[in-house]
Amino acid sequence: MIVKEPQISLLGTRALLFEAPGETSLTTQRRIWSLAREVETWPEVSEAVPGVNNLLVSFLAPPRTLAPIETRLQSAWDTATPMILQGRTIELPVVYGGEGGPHMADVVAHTGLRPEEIAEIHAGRLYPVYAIGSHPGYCYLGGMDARIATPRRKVPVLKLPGGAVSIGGSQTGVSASAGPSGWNTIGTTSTSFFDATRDPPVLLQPGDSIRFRIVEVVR
Amino acid sequence: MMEILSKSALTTIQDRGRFGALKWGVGTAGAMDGLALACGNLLLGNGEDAAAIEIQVLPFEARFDREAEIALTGATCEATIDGKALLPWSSIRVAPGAVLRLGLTRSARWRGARAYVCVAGGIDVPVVLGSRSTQLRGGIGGLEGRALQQGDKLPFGPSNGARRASDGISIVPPAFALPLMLDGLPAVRVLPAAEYRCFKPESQSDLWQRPWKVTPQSDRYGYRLSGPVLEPVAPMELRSHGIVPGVIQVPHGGQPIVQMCDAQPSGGYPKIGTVIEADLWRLGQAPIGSSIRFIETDWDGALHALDEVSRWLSKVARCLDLVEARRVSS
Amino acid sequence: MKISDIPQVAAWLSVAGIATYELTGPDYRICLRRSIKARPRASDPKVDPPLRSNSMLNPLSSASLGAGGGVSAGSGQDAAVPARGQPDVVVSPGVGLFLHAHPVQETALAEPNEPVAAGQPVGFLQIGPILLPVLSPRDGVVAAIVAPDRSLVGYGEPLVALMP
Repeated sequence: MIVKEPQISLLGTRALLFEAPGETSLTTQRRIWSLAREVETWPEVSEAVPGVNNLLVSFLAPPRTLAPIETRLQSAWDTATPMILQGRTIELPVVYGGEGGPHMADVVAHTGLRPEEIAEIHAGRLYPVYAIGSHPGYCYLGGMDARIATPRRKVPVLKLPGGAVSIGGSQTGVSASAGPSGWNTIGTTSTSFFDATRDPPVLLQPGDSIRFRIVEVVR
Repeated sequence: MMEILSKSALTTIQDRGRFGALKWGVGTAGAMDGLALACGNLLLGNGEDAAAIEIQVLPFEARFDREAEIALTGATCEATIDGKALLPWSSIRVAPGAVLRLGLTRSARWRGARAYVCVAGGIDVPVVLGSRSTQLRGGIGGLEGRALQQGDKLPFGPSNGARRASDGISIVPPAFALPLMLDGLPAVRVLPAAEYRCFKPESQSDLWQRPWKVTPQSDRYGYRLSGPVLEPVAPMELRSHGIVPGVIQVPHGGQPIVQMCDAQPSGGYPKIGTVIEADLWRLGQAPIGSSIRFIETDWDGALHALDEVSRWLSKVARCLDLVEARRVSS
Repeated sequence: MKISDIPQVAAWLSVAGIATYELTGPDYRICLRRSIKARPRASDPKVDPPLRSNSMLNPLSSASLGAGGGVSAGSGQDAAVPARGQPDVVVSPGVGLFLHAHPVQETALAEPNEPVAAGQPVGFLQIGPILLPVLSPRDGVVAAIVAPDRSLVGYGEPLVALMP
């Protein structure tokens, strides 16, 4: 949902959610990274976690009044300049369709494209990692081609395996472990994204990029 | 050390939760009823961050290899130590080889949904990313990142000898000490969330006026509720954003899902409200098939609720000390 | 009640939200009055008029607070030992609400004509947010539950009668 002005809303008493205005873009994401860097130094803040063109600000303890932090957040956004992060590019081999892509048919039905076309469009560009979230090591990627955008599922699927390559609305991502999802899974990859014994425990971070490589398109 | 004797589905090691790891996509996990956990730790004189066992399915059976002090809080069970009744919400010293058995209770004034077995010194499993809570998705924390199984042996941390309460002293459960009911149903307070205003007025009204049933598809990840269909004014596709336990999402089907302790730390469904942190324990103890009500609150109301919980826990601690001092002095 | 117990009882009154407590014994009367500050206490029950109770315990009795009832291993939990001359009544070990059952349970801990063992709980005394189990001082059979469920009881008040 596109908003014209920045929106600050409550997530209970644990956190604030800051939504940036305008269409989703890499420039906005770079300003969100900047904002996160600034906000995470504030004394009442536990974490400032970027989402896709938005920021979750979690509290160590909820402040007695909200107006001061909301004002500070708004003005920090106004002065946030796009942060350029130098990252790595990781290539992920993907088998599209078949058993590993159980919802390819739904994307075909929504877009009117064939599975081979969907795979080529999906694998045809470099995806910057906008944010980490959803589950350990999971990356939200920017820049998916609008031609293959497909709305999230009406009823979320209870269990999707790790390595599932999916489309949700105008976004794409790869699950790092088994769990529930409302996205449409079009393929699968076998890469490890999270290891709690390593520092940092995640394979990819905001600023890195992913390239998908078509191994096969199964009918 | 305690050994799990029963088959034991859906039993995990939990502490207060894992904070500060949202940046890695790691959610909080932790006890679904944080108050029951806190009470068990208070009875035993444990630190606030001591880990315990959360039991969701009965019967449960475990054996203690040596003398230990344990506490049982949370859901009402037929609880025995070597066949002798264990009082609810109390602690007890058990002898070497003692067997704890938690069975289904036939009748109860209050049931709950999750029981907690705490031990003096806490369950001693490695701390991962700041917590001992089990993160099932990703397989970290707890015991090898998984649910407990028959045969598992759990070590205890060193006891500080500061046990507050002698055998049988019980805490009035929070369901009675901090009651919150509406039209005869347990209730939780909710702060409207970003997309509240995007829902039709009838749906906003339904949220507060109608009962919501906890369906069988409800667990530590989220509670799927059934009730009137909640309709947005226009269909919405949101960008992925961070969420916290308590967020009430409304996917296209119009039936709300309350994200719970093992929920993803981010999502993209519209959010109509967030159950306040101070009331999450009430949801954690709402059994499948039961119904709840939502009560609208504001920032001050939500902070007041947190203060109330905090004051109650302090009062419990003070009273336990008072009674213990009396026992020692007489 | 021994004179040295008065500070403890006073602290309990504060926790239980009781402003005035008068205790009458065979040859004494004690009145404890708590000065209330103006701050409202939302969660404390207001008790108006003062709580009065008749103690069956002699303040000079060494048996009054029960030096350990040997209930379960190592607990030292006091059994409420009745005074001489009243061997068949379990009395309250303090000031609070007497409960027949734990709040979460439906069935009472003791019913008339049921056998009880020494150290077995026959009720609870609720003091503020906690519950003290009231324990039978000896093996026996319950004659009657004397104090009504959820009644406010004072120190030494009869709770449960056992058959002689």
